[in-house]
Amino acid sequence: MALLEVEDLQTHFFTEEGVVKAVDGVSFRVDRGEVVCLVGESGSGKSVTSLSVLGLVPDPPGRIVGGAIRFTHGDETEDLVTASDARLRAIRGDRVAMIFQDPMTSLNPYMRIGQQLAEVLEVHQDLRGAEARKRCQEMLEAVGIPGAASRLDDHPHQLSGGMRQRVMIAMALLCAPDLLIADEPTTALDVTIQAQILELIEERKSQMGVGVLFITHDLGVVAKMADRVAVMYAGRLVEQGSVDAIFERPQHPYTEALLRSIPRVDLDGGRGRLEAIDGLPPSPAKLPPGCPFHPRCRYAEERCRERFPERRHLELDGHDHVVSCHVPPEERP
Amino acid sequence: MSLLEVRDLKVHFPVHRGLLRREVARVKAVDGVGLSLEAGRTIGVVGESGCGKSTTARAILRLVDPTGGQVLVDGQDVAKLSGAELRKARQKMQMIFQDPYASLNPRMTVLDIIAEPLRTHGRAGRDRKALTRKVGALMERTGLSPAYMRRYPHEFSGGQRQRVGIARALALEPKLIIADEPVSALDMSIRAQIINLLVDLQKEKGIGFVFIAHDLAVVRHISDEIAVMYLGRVVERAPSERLFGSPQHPYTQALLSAIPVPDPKRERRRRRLVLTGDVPSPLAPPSGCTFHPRCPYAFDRCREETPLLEARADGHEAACHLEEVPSLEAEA
Repeated sequence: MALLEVEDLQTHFFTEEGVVKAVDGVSFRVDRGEVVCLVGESGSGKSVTSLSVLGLVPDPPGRIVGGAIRFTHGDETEDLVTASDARLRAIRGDRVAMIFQDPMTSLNPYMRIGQQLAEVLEVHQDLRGAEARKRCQEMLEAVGIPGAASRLDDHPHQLSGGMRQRVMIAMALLCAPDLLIADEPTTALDVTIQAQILELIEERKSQMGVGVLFITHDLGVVAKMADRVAVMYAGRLVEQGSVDAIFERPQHPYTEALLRSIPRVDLDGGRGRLEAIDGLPPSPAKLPPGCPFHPRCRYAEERCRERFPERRHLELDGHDHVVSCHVPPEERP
Repeated sequence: MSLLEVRDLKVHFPVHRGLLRREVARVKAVDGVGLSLEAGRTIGVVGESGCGKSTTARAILRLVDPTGGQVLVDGQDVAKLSGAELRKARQKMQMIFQDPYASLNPRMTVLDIIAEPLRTHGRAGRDRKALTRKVGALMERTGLSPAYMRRYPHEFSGGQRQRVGIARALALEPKLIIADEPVSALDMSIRAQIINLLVDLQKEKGIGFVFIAHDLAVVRHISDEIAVMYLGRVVERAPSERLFGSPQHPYTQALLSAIPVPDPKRERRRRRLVLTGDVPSPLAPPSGCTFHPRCPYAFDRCREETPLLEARADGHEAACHLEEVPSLEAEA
């Protein structure tokens, strides 16, 4: 069942230099108990997509100018694009929760951990005092913080980076959300800590059926976490499909080139050259006409320079697969 | 003679507290590190934050003063040099930094940035045109258009700025380059370009690289040999393929098994050695082997006695009391 359905989302920024189409016609969905990884480089629009879902696009200069974000909880489906600010505030932190990259900037340095957690319960469930404190302690224990009872009285700076990220996750999970949005939640962490945090998120997915929109640029993390993958480039969603299909039979030249360009930790590649993608990702303010990847694409043709390709729907290994490219793999040299 | 020979390097930082700023403790950021590197080869130094890899790099360049040990560059102990001699030795070694945004002076043109090491060391000459030509050649070699030499860093992308940093490092024709996380701040599609550039430059000029990074995929690709650090010490050192093929230290095993591989089917089959807890504070390191509180194989001796880095088979060295570490089959 679709928990989140984003359809033709367009989020633009109105700047002095002109309109920046940070997100331009993006459609995808997240089901219950599923992790969808949103992959892309800086400026690809992946974070603006997640901010759009949360209703947190800074306005001005940003605005959702088109599309729908349908969110289903209980028997109710509502469009978050047209929802009131009050309604969004009620949903955020309750039904939809988020974890950001840097816990140090998302936690209030002046407040004790326990106060910050309890605030969530007070706002969304009108729960206070000893009972709230008990719930907070249980949640800290659930995310694997040793000595949870005494940690409630700590300030964020007294915790290590991995511990702070656990606190963020505990805060996100306090109200048992239906949807968790995690924007590069482990990028700032060491790999042994990353492994712990990823397991924690996976547990929530399989045990509580939480749907997860996971934003990352690390293709190893994608392979570990994702059920489905959506690849973004220059504000467009260029390909999406099952994790196996994306890694084994990528249909978009960008996905293909990206997978080929990364050094592999699990294979002996020798000391040779990597198959780098030439050129740079375009500036979102100055996108090339047509398909934004065409200046770097080895298969680019005339039509790629002229117009953005239509979405093509395929079925790969029994899973839906969507790709936006003029040149199908069988026509590539 | 090796290009670089680091012997028993120690960098301890005093911790001062109180009104009289008395020294109350010492952080042993680097505590007995040994490395060696031949010309034209790369040694990768890996480990998690706080393991001392960046401090090791800085001590090799004498950006921090070592507390003890030797740093021999071309047989000359850099740790003991001062004044004019140190300045002379420094021309042989250069550094490439992680953050291409913070490591270039925003008020200088790219021409001045790349020419700065030449000027500092009195090698710029009087002929401005010759200097400009030289900078132009360095820019071309690193994949930048010399037409942009009068522009400022903010006019370049992250990848291009890192190329400027590399051009600057090449200006003095160093024998040794220390690269501290040179690609980790760059976008995915740009990393491969920069890695290729470094590999090409090494082949062409026979530069020795000390490559510091936490991304083991990048390190595996670029390094001939790898040293794994934990809390200020090297716990394992081996030729790159040996280290990845049969890690001999439990920490290396855990580190390798923690890294997700870009292959979903393999990911689902993998068995992991997931470590509990965090890296301990270097202010109060655990007794004996500093890894023992997180080690699944720790026994009594590990809590009491610090294991030394000892030779195992095939040029492999590990600091572990276990004679043989149970192999963690990568796939169950």
